[in-house]
Amino acid sequence: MPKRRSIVRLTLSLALAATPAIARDLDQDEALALREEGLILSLEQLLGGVRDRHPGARLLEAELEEEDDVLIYEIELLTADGVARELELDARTGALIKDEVDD
Amino acid sequence: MKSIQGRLGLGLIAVLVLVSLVLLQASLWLFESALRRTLADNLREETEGLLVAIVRGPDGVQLDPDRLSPRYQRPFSGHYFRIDLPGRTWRSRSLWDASPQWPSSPGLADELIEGPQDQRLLAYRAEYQRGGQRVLIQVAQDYSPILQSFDRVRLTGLVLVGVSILLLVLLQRYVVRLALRPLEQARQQIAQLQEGHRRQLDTDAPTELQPLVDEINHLLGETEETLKRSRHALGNLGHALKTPLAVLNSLTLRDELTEHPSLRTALREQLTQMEQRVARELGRARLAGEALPGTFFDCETELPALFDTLAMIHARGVSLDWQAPAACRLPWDREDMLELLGNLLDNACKWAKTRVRLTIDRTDEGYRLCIDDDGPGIAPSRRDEVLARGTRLDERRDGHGLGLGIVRDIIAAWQGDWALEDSPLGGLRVDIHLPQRVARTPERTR
Repeated sequence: MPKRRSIVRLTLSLALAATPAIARDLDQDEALALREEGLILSLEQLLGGVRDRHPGARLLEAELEEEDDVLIYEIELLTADGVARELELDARTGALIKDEVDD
Repeated sequence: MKSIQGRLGLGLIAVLVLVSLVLLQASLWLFESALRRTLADNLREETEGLLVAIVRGPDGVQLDPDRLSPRYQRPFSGHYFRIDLPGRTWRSRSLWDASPQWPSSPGLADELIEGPQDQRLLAYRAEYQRGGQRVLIQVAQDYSPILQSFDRVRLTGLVLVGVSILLLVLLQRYVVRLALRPLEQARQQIAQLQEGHRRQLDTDAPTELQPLVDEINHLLGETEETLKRSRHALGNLGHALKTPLAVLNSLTLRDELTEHPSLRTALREQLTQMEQRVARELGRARLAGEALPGTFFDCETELPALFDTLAMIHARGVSLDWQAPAACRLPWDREDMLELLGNLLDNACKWAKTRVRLTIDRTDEGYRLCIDDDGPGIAPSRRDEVLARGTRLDERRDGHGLGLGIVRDIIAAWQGDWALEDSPLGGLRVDIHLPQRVARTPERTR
């Protein structure tokens, strides 16, 4: 019995530990391949929409993440008045998921 | 009207604009080509740095991230590379999912290539051999900030060119005006000459104009002299002929001719014609056309004297008055003007019942002279006859019969015109228009 409990505990802890491991950063070559397959929008297209939201903003960093089979672009911007913001967009549709001041 | 000033200004502006634009563009070209050479050197060094970054690791050939500049990491940073090995390709992370059209020939690409986010990329392609393998390294740098700054420089340059041309043109106008002042003076003096306010041009002209001024002065003097001489000669001839004609006239009264009355009549007729012709030519000879310099007709000094004389001749209660602009000088020969006015006023006085009036007005073309009386006038149907032939219509009142003929000759010589009209005073009005600028020495023919 105690042995069985420990197994359950182990599986649980394994499962808990594995959850963040699902999120994975994709590199530029994967991004190019996905874009060429038409599975995601190009970063330039996404930035076009972002620039309408924040005119004059400059791109600081962009990352493509795979989270539970969903491709998400994490974009850091420096707005025209010098505030760093972090945005999350759905890489497939370009829909805005998050737009907040970077902490 | 083309002026020297205008032509010089136009030429100067054209040359300045052309030279400045060529200089501006040429200096920009030179500067940009020097800049591109520097940038090409930098890019070549980048490819060498990337060649060094290819290292042999535990699992084959790899790119050492410590040897890569951080600007190749940030997406769309403006600095990109692509390394091709047989069977392997590395793209800088900064390229992300963009795939620009890399150049196909080694060295600096001639044309800028399209990059992400409207960037214009200056690309460089280098081929190396490393470890027996062919390594193709291509790097690119965003050139659009430099293009923008060139545009700003060009705009600033154009503004500077515009301002300096404006300044130069103003300066040139000033200098040319200074240099052309003597010409302007000469122009004014010639205008004064035509107005009759001066007889000669000032002789202190600059060296370039001196021959012209001397020649004009010489011609003026000579013309005046010639005219004087010919008038004198004609006067002498006329006077010389008068006596023989008078003698001949009296000879026709001799008894020898009483037996041949027809011969006598014919002789007298011819002699009278000769006398009239001589008198007429004497009058004509004095018509010098436009006034010579200085011999203008000054209304305020001449008219009172003329009217006094007329009042003395016609002392029968005719009231004479005249009206002229203040300080009026008529730019025609004084003697001819006296003859013209004298004849017409004399006629008017003969016919007037109570009043004769002379009016002189300045018009756009020259002057208008009106002689009015309150006499019986001339029927409109007969006026043309008088104008055309200058004949006298009256045979009753005494006169030498030449008055209107001389008037007609004088007016024709001055290229004026005249008309006979009904006068507001009730009688005849003689209306004369004299244009101011008439050609010199008009040739009078019959």
